Amino acid sequence: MNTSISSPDNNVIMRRDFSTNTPEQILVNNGDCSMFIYKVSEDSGIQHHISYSVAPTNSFLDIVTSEKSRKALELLILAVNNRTIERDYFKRYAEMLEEVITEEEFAEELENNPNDYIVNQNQEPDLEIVKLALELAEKIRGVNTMDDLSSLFSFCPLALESIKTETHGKID
Amino acid sequence: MAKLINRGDTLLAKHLDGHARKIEWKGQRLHPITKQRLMLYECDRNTILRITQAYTGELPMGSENFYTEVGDEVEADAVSMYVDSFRREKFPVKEGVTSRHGAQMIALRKYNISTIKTPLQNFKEIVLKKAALLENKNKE
Repeated sequence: MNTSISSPDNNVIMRRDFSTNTPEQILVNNGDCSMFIYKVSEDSGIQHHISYSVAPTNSFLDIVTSEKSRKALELLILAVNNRTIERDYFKRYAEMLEEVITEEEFAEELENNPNDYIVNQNQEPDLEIVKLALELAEKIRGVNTMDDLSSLFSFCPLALESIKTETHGKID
Repeated sequence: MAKLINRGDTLLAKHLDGHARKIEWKGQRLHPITKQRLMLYECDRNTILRITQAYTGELPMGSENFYTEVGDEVEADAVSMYVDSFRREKFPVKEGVTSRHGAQMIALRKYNISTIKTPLQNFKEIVLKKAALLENKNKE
């Protein structure tokens, strides 16, 4: 198998001659992107692959550059931190009920350190991020309402409402 | 006396009475419009809330479209209730409130703001449809 990769002005920038007759073939179907990956040779531990993909918009590039994974990781880290903030609020509340701290001390703690006990909901996500968040939320416990979603990922509730009402066609 | 059933419709009151089949305490949040720090409760299923005493203090910024008269009422499945209270409210269960079910009774006696929300499942469906439409539009 001969293959070459050219720059847009048709200057060849890489050329390889692959001798294998039966390339190892992998079919990847990742939601809306289908991709064939051929392992065309392996030489001293170095593997050569070429791929062919069919996907709408940037789905293939998102996979190759791990863009979607990176965004998912950022959302999940935010979600874990927000759950910790909520947990810490309820811990302090329990301490107040058990009279470990007074009500005034609890109020002062909230007043002086709001970011430690009250989740920030100021992010204005675009449609793609909201879609990704909803996919992740399906696998996370306790996400049953719009507030659960917005407090988990720090989304501004008004921004979510405006995503709902922006029209890209007749939906709502 | 307005009866409100649309998403986004909001009551602002001093005293609020009603019931819901399910109420979840969510802790403290900043109200998204007025930015006040209030205690949030999420009501789900057959929620009815009515203003029984109007709030007579200065209305916060952003509340121009809120309903504030005695008798104004919301009826919806998903309602967010924000209350200016430090401690968790109690919502006793009463059986036979509707013809088939009991409900948790709501009697708020501190400043509160309640808004009809979009159920999460509906929101998911809308987002997926929008994303699909946008994809088709980009292909053209």
